[in-house]
Amino acid sequence: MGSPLKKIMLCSSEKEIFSVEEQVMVQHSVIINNMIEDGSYNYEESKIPLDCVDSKTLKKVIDYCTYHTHHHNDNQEDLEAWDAQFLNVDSNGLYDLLMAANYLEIRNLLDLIYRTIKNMIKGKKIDEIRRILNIKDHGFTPEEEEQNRKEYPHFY
Amino acid sequence: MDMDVHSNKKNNRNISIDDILPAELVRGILMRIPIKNLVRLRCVSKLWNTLISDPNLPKSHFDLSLAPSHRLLLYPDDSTKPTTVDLDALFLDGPSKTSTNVSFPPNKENQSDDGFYIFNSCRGFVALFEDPHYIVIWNPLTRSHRVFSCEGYKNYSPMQKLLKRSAMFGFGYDASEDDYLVLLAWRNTRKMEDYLGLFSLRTNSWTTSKVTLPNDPLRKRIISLPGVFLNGAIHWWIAPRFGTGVDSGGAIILVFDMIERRFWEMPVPKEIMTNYHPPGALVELGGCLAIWFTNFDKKTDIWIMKEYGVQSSWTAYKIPCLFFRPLNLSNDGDIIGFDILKSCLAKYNVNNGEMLQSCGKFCGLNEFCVYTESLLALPDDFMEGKE
Repeated sequence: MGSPLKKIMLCSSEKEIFSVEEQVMVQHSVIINNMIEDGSYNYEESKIPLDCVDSKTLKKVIDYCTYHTHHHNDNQEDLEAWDAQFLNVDSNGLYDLLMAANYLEIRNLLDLIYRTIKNMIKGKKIDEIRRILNIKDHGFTPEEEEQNRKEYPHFY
Repeated sequence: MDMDVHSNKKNNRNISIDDILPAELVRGILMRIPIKNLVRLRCVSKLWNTLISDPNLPKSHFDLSLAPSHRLLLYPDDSTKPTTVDLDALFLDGPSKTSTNVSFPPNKENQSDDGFYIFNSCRGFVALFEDPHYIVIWNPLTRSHRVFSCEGYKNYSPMQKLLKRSAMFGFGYDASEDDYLVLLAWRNTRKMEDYLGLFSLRTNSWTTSKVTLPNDPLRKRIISLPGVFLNGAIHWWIAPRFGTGVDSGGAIILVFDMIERRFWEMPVPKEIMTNYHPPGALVELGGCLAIWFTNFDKKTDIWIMKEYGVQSSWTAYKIPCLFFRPLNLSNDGDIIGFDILKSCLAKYNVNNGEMLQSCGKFCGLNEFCVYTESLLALPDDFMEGKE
C-alpha cells in the first residue's frame, strides 16, 4: 500500500511524547484537525503540548481514537461492548477523560462519557449520587441541608 | 498552545466532581438528564443547585434536546381525569408505573375537567380548547398556564368550524420575538372571505386580518386537525373533500412561517397524492414531518420527510396494523402509536414493520397529543407574578 502513515507527536503534562497516526487524531479531535488544516503544525519540529492531560489519560484517549478509527465498520453492539470496557475506570479516571475529551473536542468520546455519568446516577437517591460522584463537600450550609432533607425526605 | 490547567489537584485521589470539573462540564451532564429529574438533583450540591436554578437552563436544555422526554396527554372516555403517559418508559415499566392523572388548569366558569378539547403542543406547552370560547395554553409539568377568550370571533364560530374540519387551528413558537402564537383561519361564508386571527401570548391580544390562502383550502378541502409545529412553522395536511373530483387538485401541505407570518404551500410527492383517498394526517416523528394513511391493504402507510423541505427525502414505511395512529419515534428509532381496534399502544420496528411490543388499555382515543416536557415559561409569566 501507498506512502507510510503520517505521524504527529502529542506531549502529556509529564512531558512524555506519544507518536500517533495523524488520521486517527484528525478524524476525532476537532482541535487537532484545525491545527493540521491551518498549517500550524510543523511535522519536523512540532509536538502538541497537552499540559492538562496526564500520560495515563492521554494513552486512553489515543486508544479510544485508534480503536474507533480502525473499527468504525464493526457492528454497533461490538463497539458498545468495547466502549463499556474502555470506560470501566474509577470516577476520577472518568473525570480526567472527560476533561481531556472536552479539551481536545472529541465529540463522540465526550458524549459517551456524559452518557456514562448520567447512567451512573440515574434513579439514585441523593446520598448515593454523592457517594458515586465522590462529593464530600456539597457546599450547602448545615441549615440548608437540613431544610432540604426535611422538605424532600424521599430524595435522600 | 496555552491551556487551562486543572492538574493542581491531581495528586489527591479523593477529589469530587465539583472540585475537579469546571461548571461547564457539570452543566454538560445536566443537559443530558431529563428535565423532570433535574428538580431532584438540585439537592446534590450547591454548585448543582446554582446550575439547575439558572433561569436560562430550561431554554438551553430544550433547544439542545439531548434528553427529550416525550409524554402522551390523553383524555380517555372511561375516566374522569386526563392522564399523561411517559412514552419513553412505557414499554419498559408498564402503564401503571408510567401513567399519571392530571387536572386541566382551573377556570372560573368551569370547575371540572369536562368541556376540554386537546389540540396540539409546542415546546412543552399544550393548547386546549375549553367550552364555551376559551383557549388554554398549559405546561403540564410546571402547571404554568394562560387562558384567553376567542369570544370576539363568536359570529364566525371558528370553533364550530374547527370541529367540522373546515377551519384551521395552529399553535407555535416565533423564535425571533420569543413569542408563542395561536392561529385561527376560517371562512366567512356570507362574504366569501377568509380571515386569519393571531393571538400573541407576549402582547396578550388578538389581531385579525383578511387573508388569501394558497389553493383555497377553506372552501373545498378537508383539514386534518390540528396543525403540526416543526422547524419554526405550522403545517396542515389539506386533502380534497370526497366527491369534489380530480379538478380540485391533490392533497397539499399548507405551511405558516412563524417568523415571516405568511403562508406557503409545500409540494407533496406524486405517489403520496395519487395512491390514497382517505384523508390521512400529519404527525411529527423524531423531529421530522410525517404523514400517515390507512391503506387499502389493511395496513398503515407512513411517509417521513427525512430532511425538512427536501422532496426526494420522503420515505415510505408500512405498519401491518389497520387503524394505527403513529405518535412518536422512540429513542431507539421505533414507531410508537395507537392500535385503535385493540385500544392499546404498540411499538413497531420502523424498517421491517415487525411489532415489537404492545401495552395497556387506552379507551376513547379522540382527545390526545404528544408533548416534549419542558420547564419553559410563557413570555411575561414572571412579570405578571404568575405561578
